[in-house]
Amino acid sequence: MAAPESGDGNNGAARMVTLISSDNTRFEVEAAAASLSQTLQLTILDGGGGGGDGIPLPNVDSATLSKVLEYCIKHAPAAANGGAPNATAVDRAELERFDNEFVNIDQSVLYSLIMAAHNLEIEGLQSLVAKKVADMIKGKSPMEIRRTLGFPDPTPEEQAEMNAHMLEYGWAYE
Amino acid sequence: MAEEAIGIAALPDDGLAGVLRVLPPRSLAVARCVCKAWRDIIDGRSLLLPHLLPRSVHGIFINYIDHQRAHLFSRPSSSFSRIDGLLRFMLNADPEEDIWWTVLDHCNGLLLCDTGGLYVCNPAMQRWTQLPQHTTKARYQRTSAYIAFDPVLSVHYEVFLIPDVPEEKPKPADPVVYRKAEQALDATSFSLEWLFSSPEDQASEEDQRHVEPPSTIEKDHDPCHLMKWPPSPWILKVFSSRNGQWEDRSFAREGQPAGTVEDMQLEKRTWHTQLYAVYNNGVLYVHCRGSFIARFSLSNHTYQVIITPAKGEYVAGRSMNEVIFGQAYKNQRRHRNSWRSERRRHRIVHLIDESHAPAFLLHFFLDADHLRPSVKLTDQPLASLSLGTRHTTPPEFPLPPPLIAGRSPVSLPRLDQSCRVALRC
Repeated sequence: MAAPESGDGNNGAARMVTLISSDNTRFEVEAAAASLSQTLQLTILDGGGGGGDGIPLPNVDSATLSKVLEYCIKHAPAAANGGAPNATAVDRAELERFDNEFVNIDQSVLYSLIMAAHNLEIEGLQSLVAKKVADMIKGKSPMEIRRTLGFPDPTPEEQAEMNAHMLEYGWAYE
Repeated sequence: MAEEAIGIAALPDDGLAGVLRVLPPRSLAVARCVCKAWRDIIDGRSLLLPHLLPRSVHGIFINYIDHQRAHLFSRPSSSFSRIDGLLRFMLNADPEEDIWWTVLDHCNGLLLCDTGGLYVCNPAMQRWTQLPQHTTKARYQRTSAYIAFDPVLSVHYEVFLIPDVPEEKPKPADPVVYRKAEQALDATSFSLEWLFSSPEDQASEEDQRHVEPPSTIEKDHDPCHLMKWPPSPWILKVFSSRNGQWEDRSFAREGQPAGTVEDMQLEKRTWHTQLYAVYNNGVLYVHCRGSFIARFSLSNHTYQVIITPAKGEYVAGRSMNEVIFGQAYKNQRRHRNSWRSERRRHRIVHLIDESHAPAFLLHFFLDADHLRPSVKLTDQPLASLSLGTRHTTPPEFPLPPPLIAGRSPVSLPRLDQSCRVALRC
C-alpha cells in the first residue's frame, strides 16, 4: 500500500519540481504540470528537479517561463486524464477560453513562446501559438504579412523577387 | 533579461515551420513569396505539396464533335473566384468571336488545350503557357498529346506526344530502304527517325551496297506494314516545364508488341478527337490505335503493351488510385463485364450503351474525389446518371446543375463521348 506521503506522482501531496530560468529565477511547480514538456518529463522521471537542485533552463527567460508554466498548470489536469476523453463540455469550454486569452499577447512574447515550446517540446502550446501566428498571416498579401510581422522594408531586389514569385508560382496552386 | 523585442525572423526554422505548417494552402502559397528564408523552409520541407492535390471536383469540361469549343459545367462557387469556362484569360478573346479550341487532356487540374498550338493552362489560377513548337522528322505522322502532372512528386508537368501508327509509306521503291526495312523487322534497332528520314539520307548511310531488289514490291507488300508495333525503343517527344523545351525520350518495351503496323491499321483511325490517356503514380497509360494500351513507366523509361479485350474507343479515367478504361457498346448486353489485370491497378469496364459514356466518366470522377464511397461501375448506377434524355432518379451525387436537368434548357451540341474532366480545386 503506497503511503500518500511518499510524494509519489499523482496522489496526495503532489510532487514539486524546481525550474530555473536563464536569468536565475526559480519556479516551483507540480511535476505533473512540468511533465507536459517532453524534455522535462524525462528528467523528472529520472528523479531530477526535486529538492534544492532545480532544473536549469538556460534558453528560457523568466517572463517566458512564467507564461509557459501558466499554460502547463492550466492544462495539466486535462493532460493527466489522457487527453481528457471524459472531460465535461464545461471543462473544455473553459480551457478554450483560457487558450484564447492566453495567446492575446504581444508578438514578441508569442515568438518567445514558440521557441520555448519548441525547446521544451510542449506539443499543445506549440500548436496553440503556431495557430495564433498563422491567423496573423492568413488572408494577407506578402507585403501585408511583412508589415504585420514587423519585417524591415524590402530592398528593391527583395521586392523584385517577391513580385516574380507571386507571378511565377501562383499558377500551380489550387 | 532579453528585453528587446524578438522578431519572427529570430525564430529557429523548426518553430517557423510549425507556424507555416498550419496555414491553409492559399496562405502558404502567399507566404512563400514573403522572403527567401520562408521560401526555403516551405520548399525544403515540402510543406506545400500535399495541398496541391485536388480536393474536390470543381467542374468538368466537355468537348463536342460539332461545336468549336469545349464547355465548362460547374457549380457556382463562393469560396473561389469564378472560373472562366471560356478561358478568355488565355485566348484573350471576345466571347462573341469564334475561336476554335478543344481540351486534349487534363491532369490534376491542369488542362492541355489545342487552339492550333498546344497550351497548358490552369483555369483556377488563370495561368497558362504556350508550348514551343516541336520539331519532328515524322512528317507523315499524327500524334496525340497528353499531359502528366503530379503535384505530390513535383511542381513540374510534362507533355507527351504519342505517335500514331505510321500511315504513309516511305517510298518502298528504293532497294536500300527496303533492305533497311527488312532489318528493322526484328524491331531491335528501330527508330522513327529512320523510318521518316528521306530515302536520300538512308542511301548515304553505311549500307551503300547494291541489293537486288525483290522482283516486285506491291502496295500490299510494304515491309513497313510488317514491322512490329509499337517499336522498341519507342522515341517520344516530351516537353518538360522544368527546362521549357522538347526533347526525345526513348522508352524500351518490356514484353511483346501489340502486333504489326498492318494489324494496327486494321482499326479505324478516329478523326474527331484523340484517344484517352491517364496519368497515375508516375505511370502514363495511353490508349492507342490498334486495341492496346501503352503503359509508360516514366521513372525507368520502359513501356508495356496491354491488349484491350475489344476494339473500339475507350474512355479512361482515374478512380481513387485505380486507372479505369471503359467502353461503351450499343445494344449489346452480353458484353457487360469488366476486365482487370496487373494487380487491379487498372481496370477495363464495358458499358452497356454508348449514351452512358459521359455519365460514366462523371460518375467515377466524382467517386474519385471521395465524395461517396466507391461504387461498382459495372453494377448499374449508370442508368440513373445518363445525360438528358432518360433521367429518372435524381442522382445522389452533387452533379453540376446543367447536367442533371431532365431536359436541358439549351439544346446541347452532340457529345463526342470525350467528356474531359478537370478542374479540381
